Amino acid sequence: MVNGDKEVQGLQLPYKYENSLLLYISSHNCEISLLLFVAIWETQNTQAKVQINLRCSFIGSFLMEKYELIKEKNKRGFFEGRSLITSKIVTLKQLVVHPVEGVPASLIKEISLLHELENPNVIRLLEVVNSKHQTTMVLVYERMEMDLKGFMCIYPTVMTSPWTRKVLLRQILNAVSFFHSYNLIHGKIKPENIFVDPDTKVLKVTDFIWPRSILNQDSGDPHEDSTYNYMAPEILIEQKQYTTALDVWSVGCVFAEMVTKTPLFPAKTEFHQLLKIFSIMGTPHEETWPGIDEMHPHSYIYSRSEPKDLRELVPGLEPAGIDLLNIEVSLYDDHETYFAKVFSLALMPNVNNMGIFL
Amino acid sequence: PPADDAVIDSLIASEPHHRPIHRSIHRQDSINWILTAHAHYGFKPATAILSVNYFDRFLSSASLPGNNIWAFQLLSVACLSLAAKMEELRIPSLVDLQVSEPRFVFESKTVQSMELLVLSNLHWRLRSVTPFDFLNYFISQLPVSCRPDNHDPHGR
Repeated sequence: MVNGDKEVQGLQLPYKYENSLLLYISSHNCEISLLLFVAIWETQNTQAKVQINLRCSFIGSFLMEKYELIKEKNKRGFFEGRSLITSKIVTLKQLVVHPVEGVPASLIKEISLLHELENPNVIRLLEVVNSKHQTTMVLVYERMEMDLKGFMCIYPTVMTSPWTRKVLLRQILNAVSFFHSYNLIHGKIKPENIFVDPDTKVLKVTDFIWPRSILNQDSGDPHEDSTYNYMAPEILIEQKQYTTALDVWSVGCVFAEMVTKTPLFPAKTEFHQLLKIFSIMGTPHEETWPGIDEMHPHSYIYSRSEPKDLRELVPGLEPAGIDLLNIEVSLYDDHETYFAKVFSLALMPNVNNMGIFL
Repeated sequence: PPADDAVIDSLIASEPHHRPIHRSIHRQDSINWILTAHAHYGFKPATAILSVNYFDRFLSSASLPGNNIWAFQLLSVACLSLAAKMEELRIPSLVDLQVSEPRFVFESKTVQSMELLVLSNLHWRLRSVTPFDFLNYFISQLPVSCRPDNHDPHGR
């Protein structure tokens, strides 16, 4: 949607902060309010200027009165910033409102609800900043250290500890069950949406507010390869059955990835995603997944595979963890019991206050 | 959720955050228009209460330019629209919402800007406590013989 990259030529930089990311607004079209920004990074040692084009539109000058941008946090549209009033580090996420029928109802409901949600493992929304032209807004969150994807890369040895994995998994499940207790389905549990503090191991899941409700109805992230990797098969097939079991599936995928460092079901398209899932969990048929023929009349196109042993695919996971994973990513299960089983298995108050399959 | 004493306590505790402190000369006209449009579309009772709540809270924290009538009309439309979006399943377009031939009709773009201004002033806290939140509890406290025959367990 943003057309073309702009060269940094003859720019007058409005702000300059030593050793921090400088932002210059190269163009802004307030009608659709897709803003293209060019950021110039001054590295600490060389002062060399490296141009970073932020492909996703981000943050108007309106924000500059209250917050200063520090850096891009991850490719999911999260940025790190600093409050100019309190000097506190915050996390920023931009949303663009389509000027059609006002602010979308889903967004109004989600944000007003989010203000009331308080959970140690759910990221807290501090405020919402509107642009002067009231077409763009930025959600300001409490500080988030690094996402789980980055954490797994930077601290590979820490992740080999079953203790760390258990601590993190328990917090993810705590956040998910909290959302579910409000009848909310997160829908996008994946490592990029989970943040971890490397020192304290405190984990926070980001909220359920996605640009889908604003830009268009498309829920996918076109720029991201991993979009489908954490999606449950029923949503890949039908795209309308939103249940809490979807999140449990995603948690299972994240759990396996914490052990192996690679996605359990890597694939780039919807079709290949189902193929991948079936190749590991076995191609479903009426006996293993009652109702699948009606739900997916063309399921015969998938070559028949038998379920593989997760113990071989996720080496290094203790037997109780394999049991839990098996429930989380089972193709078909009665949703009520499915859910209850996962949480009772994972969250049982147990020895050492750890709770997870000890 | 089951209504018990703890729920009622928390409702009472959060009520002051949603209370108006401002009264304007155009308030009554604005509310009359909100109620007319509300009746036209057959919205739920809670939608009317929320609209007026947003209207009053906005004026408690901000003032409209020069006390102009058009500004109050715009604020009324934005508040009704926000309340409808919170409560109703079917929401008319922002232009259709402006029924009963008001003196000023606004483009949807303008209403959207006003919506955002209201949201910002209300700090996006739109789940105001209304009398409907208490109904269920009070009904449950009644002797069984006094309860309405088919009272809606959600109190709406």
